[in-house]
Amino acid sequence: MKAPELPARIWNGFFYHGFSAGSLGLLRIYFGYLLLPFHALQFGALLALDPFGPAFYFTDRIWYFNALGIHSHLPQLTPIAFAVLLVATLAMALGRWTRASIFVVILCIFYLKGVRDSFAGDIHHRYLMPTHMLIILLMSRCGDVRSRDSRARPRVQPLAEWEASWPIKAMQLYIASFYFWGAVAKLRASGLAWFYGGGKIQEILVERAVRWGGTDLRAQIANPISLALAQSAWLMDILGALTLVMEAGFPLILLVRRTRWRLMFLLGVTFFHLANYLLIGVKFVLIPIVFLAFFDLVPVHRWLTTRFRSKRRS
Amino acid sequence: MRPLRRTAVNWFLALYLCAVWTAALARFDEFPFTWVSMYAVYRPTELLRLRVADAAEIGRGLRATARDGSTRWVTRHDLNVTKKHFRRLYWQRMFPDDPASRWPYRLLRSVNRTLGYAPDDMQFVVRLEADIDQVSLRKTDLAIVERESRHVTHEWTATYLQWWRDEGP
Repeated sequence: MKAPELPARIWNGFFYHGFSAGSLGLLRIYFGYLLLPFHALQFGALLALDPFGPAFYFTDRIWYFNALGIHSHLPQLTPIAFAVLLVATLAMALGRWTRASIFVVILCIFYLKGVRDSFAGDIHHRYLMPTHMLIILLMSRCGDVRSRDSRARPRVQPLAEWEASWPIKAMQLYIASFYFWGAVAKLRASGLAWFYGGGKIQEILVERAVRWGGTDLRAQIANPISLALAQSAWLMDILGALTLVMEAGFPLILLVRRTRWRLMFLLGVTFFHLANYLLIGVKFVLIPIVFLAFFDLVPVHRWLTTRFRSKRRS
Repeated sequence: MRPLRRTAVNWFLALYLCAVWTAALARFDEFPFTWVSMYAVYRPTELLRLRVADAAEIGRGLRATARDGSTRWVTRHDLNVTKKHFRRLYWQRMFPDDPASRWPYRLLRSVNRTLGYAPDDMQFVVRLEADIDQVSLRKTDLAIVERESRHVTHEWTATYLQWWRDEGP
Protein backbone atom coordinates (compact mmCIF):
# COMPACT_ATOMS: atom_id res chain seq x y z
CA MET A 1 0.00 0.00 0.00
CA LYS A 2 1.35 3.41 -0.91
CA ALA A 3 1.97 5.88 1.92
CA PRO A 4 -0.75 8.41 0.90
CA GLU A 5 -3.36 5.60 0.73
CA LEU A 6 -3.03 4.63 4.40
CA PRO A 7 -4.42 7.87 5.87
CA ALA A 8 -7.29 7.76 3.37
CA ARG A 9 -8.07 4.17 4.34
CA ILE A 10 -8.03 5.03 8.03
CA TRP A 11 -10.18 8.12 7.42
CA ASN A 12 -12.72 6.29 5.27
CA GLY A 13 -12.70 3.23 7.49
CA PHE A 14 -13.46 5.29 10.56
CA PHE A 15 -15.98 7.82 9.26
CA TYR A 16 -17.88 5.94 6.57
CA HIS A 17 -18.65 2.54 8.06
CA GLY A 18 -20.46 1.06 10.99
CA PHE A 19 -23.96 2.51 11.06
CA SER A 20 -27.20 2.25 9.15
CA ALA A 21 -29.84 4.78 8.19
CA GLY A 22 -31.98 3.49 11.05
CA SER A 23 -29.13 4.18 13.48
CA LEU A 24 -28.96 7.82 12.44
CA GLY A 25 -32.72 8.31 12.51
CA LEU A 26 -33.06 6.75 15.94
CA LEU A 27 -30.18 8.83 17.28
CA ARG A 28 -31.97 11.96 16.15
CA ILE A 29 -35.18 10.78 17.83
CA TYR A 30 -33.74 9.65 21.17
CA PHE A 31 -31.30 12.56 21.42
CA GLY A 32 -34.09 14.98 20.59
CA TYR A 33 -36.40 13.65 23.28
CA LEU A 34 -33.64 13.57 25.90
CA LEU A 35 -32.73 17.16 25.08
CA LEU A 36 -36.10 18.27 26.43
CA PRO A 37 -35.28 17.62 30.13
CA PHE A 38 -31.73 18.83 29.42
CA HIS A 39 -33.06 22.20 28.27
CA ALA A 40 -35.33 22.37 31.30
CA LEU A 41 -32.45 21.76 33.70
CA GLN A 42 -30.17 24.30 32.05
CA PHE A 43 -32.62 27.15 31.42
CA GLY A 44 -35.51 26.47 33.78
CA ALA A 45 -34.28 28.97 36.38
CA LEU A 46 -34.62 31.81 33.85
CA LEU A 47 -38.35 31.20 33.72
CA ALA A 48 -38.67 32.28 37.36
CA LEU A 49 -37.75 35.84 36.40
CA ASP A 50 -40.48 38.44 36.16
CA PRO A 51 -41.25 38.92 32.43
CA PHE A 52 -42.55 42.40 33.23
CA GLY A 53 -39.76 43.26 35.67
CA PRO A 54 -36.57 45.26 35.11
CA ALA A 55 -34.35 44.46 32.14
CA PHE A 56 -31.04 43.58 33.77
CA TYR A 57 -28.04 45.26 32.16
CA PHE A 58 -25.55 42.44 31.66
CA THR A 59 -22.35 42.73 33.68
CA ASP A 60 -20.17 40.84 31.19
CA ARG A 61 -21.69 39.85 27.89
CA ILE A 62 -20.92 36.73 25.91
CA TRP A 63 -18.94 37.56 22.77
CA TYR A 64 -21.79 37.37 20.27
CA PHE A 65 -24.02 39.60 22.42
CA ASN A 66 -21.15 42.09 22.29
CA ALA A 67 -20.97 41.78 18.53
CA LEU A 68 -24.73 42.16 18.11
CA GLY A 69 -24.99 45.03 20.60
CA ILE A 70 -27.27 43.15 22.99
CA HIS A 71 -26.72 44.97 26.30
CA SER A 72 -29.63 43.91 28.46
CA HIS A 73 -31.85 40.99 29.22
CA LEU A 74 -35.29 41.16 27.63
CA PRO A 75 -37.36 39.35 30.26
CA GLN A 76 -40.38 39.00 27.95
CA LEU A 77 -38.31 37.28 25.29
CA THR A 78 -36.78 34.56 27.46
CA PRO A 79 -39.93 32.47 28.08
CA ILE A 80 -40.84 32.81 24.40
CA ALA A 81 -37.38 31.65 23.34
CA PHE A 82 -37.60 28.73 25.76
CA ALA A 83 -40.99 27.68 24.40
CA VAL A 84 -39.69 27.90 20.85
CA LEU A 85 -36.66 25.84 21.88
CA LEU A 86 -38.87 23.06 23.25
CA VAL A 87 -41.17 23.04 20.23
CA ALA A 88 -38.25 23.01 17.80
CA THR A 89 -36.55 20.21 19.74
CA LEU A 90 -39.75 18.16 19.62
CA ALA A 91 -40.07 18.83 15.90
CA MET A 92 -36.48 17.70 15.42
CA ALA A 93 -37.17 14.47 17.32
CA LEU A 94 -40.29 13.81 15.26
CA GLY A 95 -38.43 14.70 12.08
CA ARG A 96 -40.79 17.46 10.99
CA TRP A 97 -39.09 20.26 8.99
CA THR A 98 -36.02 18.59 10.47
CA ARG A 99 -33.24 20.79 9.20
CA ALA A 100 -35.10 24.01 9.98
CA SER A 101 -36.00 22.68 13.43
CA ILE A 102 -32.39 21.84 14.23
CA PHE A 103 -31.32 25.30 13.08
CA VAL A 104 -33.91 26.92 15.35
CA VAL A 105 -32.79 24.74 18.27
CA ILE A 106 -29.20 25.88 17.78
CA LEU A 107 -30.28 29.51 17.53
CA CYS A 108 -32.35 29.29 20.72
CA ILE A 109 -29.48 27.63 22.57
CA PHE A 110 -27.15 30.43 21.52
CA TYR A 111 -29.62 33.04 22.73
CA LEU A 112 -30.60 31.46 26.05
CA LYS A 113 -27.05 30.46 26.89
CA GLY A 114 -25.96 33.96 26.02
CA VAL A 115 -28.55 35.35 28.42
CA ARG A 116 -27.64 32.93 31.20
CA ASP A 117 -23.90 33.50 30.87
CA SER A 118 -24.04 37.28 30.50
CA PHE A 119 -25.77 38.04 33.81
CA ALA A 120 -22.64 37.48 35.88
CA GLY A 121 -19.97 36.81 33.24
CA ASP A 122 -20.00 33.04 33.67
CA ILE A 123 -18.67 30.70 31.03
CA HIS A 124 -20.65 27.48 31.18
CA HIS A 125 -19.63 24.51 29.07
CA ARG A 126 -22.60 22.21 29.42
CA TYR A 127 -24.03 22.90 25.98
CA LEU A 128 -20.83 22.34 24.02
CA MET A 129 -21.22 18.64 23.29
CA PRO A 130 -24.98 18.81 22.57
CA THR A 131 -24.49 21.87 20.33
CA HIS A 132 -21.77 20.18 18.29
CA MET A 133 -24.00 17.12 17.93
CA LEU A 134 -26.74 19.41 16.64
CA ILE A 135 -24.38 21.11 14.18
CA ILE A 136 -23.38 17.72 12.81
CA LEU A 137 -27.00 16.58 12.62
CA LEU A 138 -27.80 19.80 10.77
CA MET A 139 -25.29 18.87 8.07
CA SER A 140 -26.50 15.26 7.89
CA ARG A 141 -29.47 13.55 6.31
CA CYS A 142 -30.95 12.58 9.69
CA GLY A 143 -34.31 14.01 8.62
CA ASP A 144 -34.59 11.58 5.71
CA VAL A 145 -35.13 8.51 7.85
CA ARG A 146 -37.66 7.60 10.57
CA SER A 147 -39.23 11.02 10.25
CA ARG A 148 -42.42 12.81 9.30
CA ASP A 149 -40.44 14.47 6.51
CA SER A 150 -39.48 11.14 4.94
CA ARG A 151 -43.11 9.95 5.04
CA ALA A 152 -44.14 13.15 3.30
CA ARG A 153 -41.43 12.67 0.67
CA PRO A 154 -41.48 8.91 -0.09
CA ARG A 155 -39.21 9.20 -3.13
CA VAL A 156 -36.22 10.39 -1.14
CA GLN A 157 -33.07 8.41 -1.94
CA PRO A 158 -32.27 5.90 0.82
CA LEU A 159 -29.23 6.67 2.95
CA ALA A 160 -26.07 4.82 2.10
CA GLU A 161 -23.92 3.43 4.91
CA TRP A 162 -21.41 6.27 4.54
CA GLU A 163 -24.13 8.92 4.83
CA ALA A 164 -25.48 7.35 8.01
CA SER A 165 -22.09 6.66 9.57
CA TRP A 166 -20.12 9.89 9.22
CA PRO A 167 -22.40 12.04 11.43
CA ILE A 168 -22.36 9.49 14.23
CA LYS A 169 -18.61 8.95 14.02
CA ALA A 170 -18.00 12.70 13.95
CA MET A 171 -20.05 13.09 17.12
CA GLN A 172 -18.11 10.28 18.79
CA LEU A 173 -14.85 11.94 17.83
CA TYR A 174 -15.92 15.32 19.22
CA ILE A 175 -17.16 13.84 22.50
CA ALA A 176 -13.98 11.80 22.96
CA SER A 177 -11.88 14.87 22.12
CA PHE A 178 -13.80 16.97 24.65
CA TYR A 179 -12.88 14.72 27.54
CA PHE A 180 -9.33 14.34 26.30
CA TRP A 181 -8.94 18.14 26.09
CA GLY A 182 -10.10 18.26 29.72
CA ALA A 183 -7.13 16.13 30.79
CA VAL A 184 -4.75 18.14 28.60
CA ALA A 185 -6.06 21.43 30.00
CA LYS A 186 -5.47 20.32 33.58
CA LEU A 187 -1.94 19.16 32.76
CA ARG A 188 -1.16 22.38 30.86
CA ALA A 189 -2.60 24.69 33.50
CA SER A 190 -1.52 22.86 36.63
CA GLY A 191 0.62 19.83 35.86
CA LEU A 192 0.32 16.55 37.73
CA ALA A 193 -0.27 18.40 41.02
CA TRP A 194 -3.92 18.70 39.94
CA PHE A 195 -4.34 14.96 40.29
CA TYR A 196 -2.52 13.92 43.44
CA GLY A 197 -1.75 15.02 46.97
CA GLY A 198 -5.26 16.27 47.51
CA GLY A 199 -5.10 18.40 44.44
CA LYS A 200 -7.92 20.33 42.90
CA ILE A 201 -10.51 17.71 43.86
CA GLN A 202 -9.98 18.29 47.58
CA GLU A 203 -10.08 22.05 47.07
CA ILE A 204 -13.38 21.96 45.19
CA LEU A 205 -15.01 19.52 47.61
CA VAL A 206 -14.16 21.71 50.58
CA GLU A 207 -15.01 24.96 48.85
CA ARG A 208 -18.43 23.76 47.77
CA ALA A 209 -19.14 22.23 51.17
CA VAL A 210 -18.44 25.42 53.14
CA ARG A 211 -19.38 28.09 50.62
CA TRP A 212 -22.67 28.93 52.30
CA GLY A 213 -21.38 28.21 55.77
CA GLY A 214 -22.59 31.45 57.23
CA THR A 215 -21.32 32.76 60.49
CA ASP A 216 -21.07 29.33 62.11
CA LEU A 217 -19.04 27.23 59.73
CA ARG A 218 -19.64 23.86 61.34
CA ALA A 219 -23.37 24.25 61.72
CA GLN A 220 -24.09 25.30 58.16
CA ILE A 221 -21.95 23.08 56.02
CA ALA A 222 -23.89 22.53 52.84
CA ASN A 223 -22.58 19.06 52.12
CA PRO A 224 -20.98 17.14 55.03
CA ILE A 225 -20.24 14.16 52.75
CA SER A 226 -18.05 16.35 50.52
CA LEU A 227 -16.20 17.61 53.57
CA ALA A 228 -15.71 14.08 54.94
CA LEU A 229 -14.39 12.76 51.62
CA ALA A 230 -11.99 15.68 51.31
CA GLN A 231 -10.25 14.66 54.51
CA SER A 232 -9.17 11.29 53.13
CA ALA A 233 -5.80 11.75 51.41
CA TRP A 234 -5.68 8.30 49.81
CA LEU A 235 -9.22 8.69 48.47
CA MET A 236 -8.31 12.04 46.90
CA ASP A 237 -5.31 10.40 45.18
CA ILE A 238 -7.51 7.60 43.82
CA LEU A 239 -10.13 10.05 42.55
CA GLY A 240 -7.42 12.16 40.95
CA ALA A 241 -5.90 9.16 39.22
CA LEU A 242 -9.29 7.94 38.01
CA THR A 243 -10.08 11.40 36.64
CA LEU A 244 -6.82 11.46 34.69
CA VAL A 245 -7.30 7.92 33.36
CA MET A 246 -10.92 8.54 32.40
CA GLU A 247 -10.32 11.84 30.61
CA ALA A 248 -7.00 11.06 28.94
CA GLY A 249 -8.12 7.54 28.04
CA PHE A 250 -11.52 8.49 26.69
CA PRO A 251 -10.44 8.48 23.00
CA LEU A 252 -9.63 4.77 23.35
CA ILE A 253 -13.37 4.13 23.28
CA LEU A 254 -13.21 4.85 19.56
CA LEU A 255 -11.17 1.66 19.15
CA VAL A 256 -13.45 -0.51 21.32
CA ARG A 257 -15.98 -2.44 19.27
CA ARG A 258 -17.58 -4.53 21.99
CA THR A 259 -20.77 -2.90 23.15
CA ARG A 260 -20.50 -4.26 26.67
CA TRP A 261 -17.11 -2.67 27.28
CA ARG A 262 -18.31 0.64 25.88
CA LEU A 263 -21.35 0.49 28.10
CA MET A 264 -19.29 -0.26 31.20
CA PHE A 265 -16.92 2.61 30.52
CA LEU A 266 -19.69 5.09 29.80
CA LEU A 267 -21.64 3.99 32.87
CA GLY A 268 -18.51 4.81 34.84
CA VAL A 269 -18.35 8.27 33.27
CA THR A 270 -22.05 8.73 34.01
CA PHE A 271 -21.38 7.89 37.66
CA PHE A 272 -18.55 10.46 37.61
CA HIS A 273 -20.96 13.18 36.46
CA LEU A 274 -23.61 12.12 38.97
CA ALA A 275 -21.08 12.24 41.80
CA ASN A 276 -19.94 15.68 40.67
CA TYR A 277 -23.51 16.90 40.79
CA LEU A 278 -24.25 15.48 44.23
CA LEU A 279 -20.95 16.43 45.86
CA ILE A 280 -20.02 19.74 44.25
CA GLY A 281 -23.11 20.85 42.37
CA VAL A 282 -21.65 20.68 38.86
CA LYS A 283 -24.63 20.52 36.50
CA PHE A 284 -23.19 18.08 33.97
CA VAL A 285 -25.51 15.41 35.40
CA LEU A 286 -27.57 15.04 32.21
CA ILE A 287 -24.61 15.25 29.81
CA PRO A 288 -24.60 11.42 29.43
CA ILE A 289 -27.40 11.86 26.88
CA VAL A 290 -24.61 12.52 24.38
CA PHE A 291 -23.28 8.98 24.97
CA LEU A 292 -26.14 7.69 22.79
CA ALA A 293 -23.81 8.43 19.88
CA PHE A 294 -21.57 5.54 20.92
CA PHE A 295 -24.23 2.88 20.39
CA ASP A 296 -26.20 1.50 17.47
CA LEU A 297 -29.71 2.27 18.63
CA VAL A 298 -31.45 -0.09 16.19
CA PRO A 299 -31.20 -3.18 18.44
CA VAL A 300 -31.89 -1.03 21.51
CA HIS A 301 -35.05 0.37 19.94
CA ARG A 302 -36.12 -3.07 18.80
CA TRP A 303 -35.69 -4.46 22.32
CA LEU A 304 -37.58 -1.57 23.89
CA THR A 305 -40.51 -1.77 21.45
CA THR A 306 -40.71 -5.56 21.85
CA ARG A 307 -40.80 -5.22 25.64
CA PHE A 308 -43.38 -2.45 25.44
CA ARG A 309 -45.63 -4.45 23.10
CA SER A 310 -45.44 -7.61 25.20
CA LYS A 311 -46.33 -5.59 28.33
CA ARG A 312 -49.30 -4.08 26.55
CA ARG A 313 -50.52 -7.51 25.47
CA SER A 314 -50.26 -8.85 29.00
CA MET B 1 -30.48 21.55 0.91
CA ARG B 2 -29.33 18.77 -1.38
CA PRO B 3 -27.59 15.78 0.18
CA LEU B 4 -23.87 16.40 0.51
CA ARG B 5 -21.54 14.45 -1.72
CA ARG B 6 -18.73 12.53 -0.17
CA THR B 7 -16.12 15.08 -1.24
CA ALA B 8 -18.10 17.85 0.42
CA VAL B 9 -18.41 15.77 3.59
CA ASN B 10 -14.66 15.18 3.57
CA TRP B 11 -14.07 18.92 3.35
CA PHE B 12 -16.63 19.65 6.05
CA LEU B 13 -15.09 17.09 8.42
CA ALA B 14 -11.55 18.27 7.75
CA LEU B 15 -12.40 21.93 8.33
CA TYR B 16 -14.58 21.17 11.34
CA LEU B 17 -11.92 19.03 13.04
CA CYS B 18 -9.25 21.61 12.26
CA ALA B 19 -11.39 24.34 13.80
CA VAL B 20 -12.23 22.54 17.04
CA TRP B 21 -8.71 21.19 17.57
CA THR B 22 -7.07 24.52 16.78
CA ALA B 23 -9.32 26.18 19.34
CA ALA B 24 -8.40 23.57 21.94
CA LEU B 25 -4.67 23.85 21.30
CA ALA B 26 -4.81 27.67 21.21
CA ARG B 27 -6.69 27.81 24.56
CA PHE B 28 -9.62 29.51 22.90
CA ASP B 29 -12.68 29.41 25.12
CA GLU B 30 -15.60 31.18 23.43
CA PHE B 31 -18.78 29.25 22.75
CA PRO B 32 -19.04 27.03 20.74
CA PHE B 33 -15.27 26.48 20.91
CA THR B 34 -13.36 25.49 24.02
CA TRP B 35 -10.20 24.01 25.42
CA VAL B 36 -12.20 22.54 28.33
CA SER B 37 -10.47 24.65 30.93
CA MET B 38 -13.12 24.27 33.62
CA TYR B 39 -11.54 23.71 37.03
CA ALA B 40 -8.14 23.28 35.33
CA VAL B 41 -6.20 25.83 37.35
CA TYR B 42 -4.74 24.59 40.63
CA ARG B 43 -1.95 26.08 42.67
CA PRO B 44 -0.74 23.81 45.50
CA THR B 45 -0.78 25.54 48.86
CA GLU B 46 -0.53 24.43 52.47
CA LEU B 47 -3.73 26.20 53.36
CA LEU B 48 -7.05 26.29 51.56
CA ARG B 49 -8.25 29.91 51.43
CA LEU B 50 -11.96 30.02 50.82
CA ARG B 51 -14.78 32.49 50.93
CA VAL B 52 -17.72 31.67 53.13
CA ALA B 53 -20.93 33.52 52.56
CA ASP B 54 -24.03 33.90 54.64
CA ALA B 55 -27.03 32.95 52.52
CA ALA B 56 -29.28 35.17 54.62
CA GLU B 57 -26.97 38.16 54.14
CA ILE B 58 -26.91 37.60 50.41
CA GLY B 59 -30.68 37.35 50.40
CA ARG B 60 -30.78 40.77 52.03
CA GLY B 61 -28.88 42.14 49.04
CA LEU B 62 -26.14 44.62 48.27
CA ARG B 63 -26.04 47.76 50.38
CA ALA B 64 -26.36 50.68 47.94
CA THR B 65 -25.78 54.36 48.66
CA ALA B 66 -27.25 56.92 46.28
CA ARG B 67 -25.85 60.29 45.29
CA ASP B 68 -28.28 62.04 47.65
CA GLY B 69 -26.91 59.98 50.57
CA SER B 70 -29.88 57.66 50.95
CA THR B 71 -29.19 53.94 51.37
CA ARG B 72 -31.13 50.86 50.37
CA TRP B 73 -30.68 47.15 49.86
CA VAL B 74 -30.55 46.10 46.22
CA THR B 75 -31.92 42.57 45.97
CA ARG B 76 -32.12 40.08 43.16
CA HIS B 77 -35.76 41.04 42.69
CA ASP B 78 -34.78 44.67 42.15
CA LEU B 79 -32.40 43.55 39.40
CA ASN B 80 -34.62 40.72 38.12
CA VAL B 81 -31.86 38.09 38.18
CA THR B 82 -31.97 34.50 39.35
CA LYS B 83 -30.86 33.51 42.85
CA LYS B 84 -27.77 31.76 41.48
CA HIS B 85 -26.73 34.75 39.43
CA PHE B 86 -27.18 37.13 42.33
CA ARG B 87 -25.15 34.83 44.55
CA ARG B 88 -22.34 34.85 42.00
CA LEU B 89 -22.48 38.61 41.70
CA TYR B 90 -22.29 38.90 45.46
CA TRP B 91 -19.94 36.08 46.36
CA GLN B 92 -17.48 36.36 43.48
CA ARG B 93 -17.84 39.58 41.51
CA MET B 94 -18.09 41.92 44.50
CA PHE B 95 -14.81 40.39 45.73
CA PRO B 96 -12.70 40.09 42.57
CA ASP B 97 -9.42 38.22 42.87
CA ASP B 98 -7.70 40.71 40.60
CA PRO B 99 -7.74 44.21 42.16
CA ALA B 100 -7.24 45.76 38.72
CA SER B 101 -10.35 44.13 37.25
CA ARG B 102 -13.29 46.17 36.04
CA TRP B 103 -15.79 44.28 38.14
CA PRO B 104 -16.52 47.16 40.53
CA TYR B 105 -17.39 49.37 37.57
CA ARG B 106 -19.43 46.64 35.90
CA LEU B 107 -21.47 46.07 39.04
CA LEU B 108 -22.17 49.77 39.57
CA ARG B 109 -23.01 50.16 35.90
CA SER B 110 -25.36 47.17 35.84
CA VAL B 111 -27.19 48.24 38.99
CA ASN B 112 -27.66 51.80 37.75
CA ARG B 113 -28.58 50.99 34.18
CA THR B 114 -31.00 48.29 35.31
CA LEU B 115 -32.68 50.64 37.76
CA GLY B 116 -32.72 53.35 35.11
CA TYR B 117 -30.44 55.90 36.76
CA ALA B 118 -28.08 58.25 34.93
CA PRO B 119 -24.91 59.63 36.60
CA ASP B 120 -26.57 63.03 37.17
CA ASP B 121 -29.61 61.58 38.95
CA MET B 122 -29.79 61.98 42.71
CA GLN B 123 -30.85 58.32 42.96
CA PHE B 124 -27.74 57.20 41.07
CA VAL B 125 -25.96 54.51 43.11
CA VAL B 126 -22.46 55.73 43.93
CA ARG B 127 -21.46 53.03 46.39
CA LEU B 128 -22.05 49.30 46.72
CA GLU B 129 -21.08 47.33 49.81
CA ALA B 130 -21.01 43.69 50.81
CA ASP B 131 -19.61 41.44 53.54
CA ILE B 132 -18.09 38.01 53.40
CA ASP B 133 -15.89 35.79 55.55
CA GLN B 134 -12.52 34.49 54.41
CA VAL B 135 -11.34 31.27 56.07
CA SER B 136 -8.05 29.45 55.82
CA LEU B 137 -8.20 25.72 56.42
CA ARG B 138 -5.29 23.34 56.96
CA LYS B 139 -5.40 20.72 54.21
CA THR B 140 -4.36 17.80 56.40
CA ASP B 141 -7.31 17.97 58.77
CA LEU B 142 -9.40 20.87 57.38
CA ALA B 143 -9.12 22.72 60.69
CA ILE B 144 -9.71 26.44 60.49
CA VAL B 145 -6.44 28.26 61.21
CA GLU B 146 -7.61 31.73 60.35
CA ARG B 147 -10.88 33.50 59.82
CA GLU B 148 -11.39 37.10 58.87
CA SER B 149 -14.39 39.13 57.92
CA ARG B 150 -14.06 41.12 54.75
CA HIS B 151 -16.08 44.19 53.97
CA VAL B 152 -15.85 45.59 50.48
CA THR B 153 -16.89 49.02 49.24
CA HIS B 154 -16.97 49.95 45.58
CA GLU B 155 -17.25 53.69 44.97
CA TRP B 156 -18.14 55.53 41.79
CA THR B 157 -15.13 57.43 40.43
CA ALA B 158 -14.32 59.95 37.72
CA THR B 159 -12.74 57.14 35.71
CA TYR B 160 -15.97 55.17 35.86
CA LEU B 161 -17.86 58.24 34.66
CA GLN B 162 -15.55 58.49 31.67
CA TRP B 163 -16.05 54.81 30.87
CA TRP B 164 -19.82 55.27 31.16
CA ARG B 165 -19.72 58.17 28.71
CA ASP B 166 -17.45 56.26 26.31
CA GLU B 167 -20.00 53.43 26.18
CA GLY B 168 -22.78 55.78 25.13
CA PRO B 169 -26.48 55.44 25.97
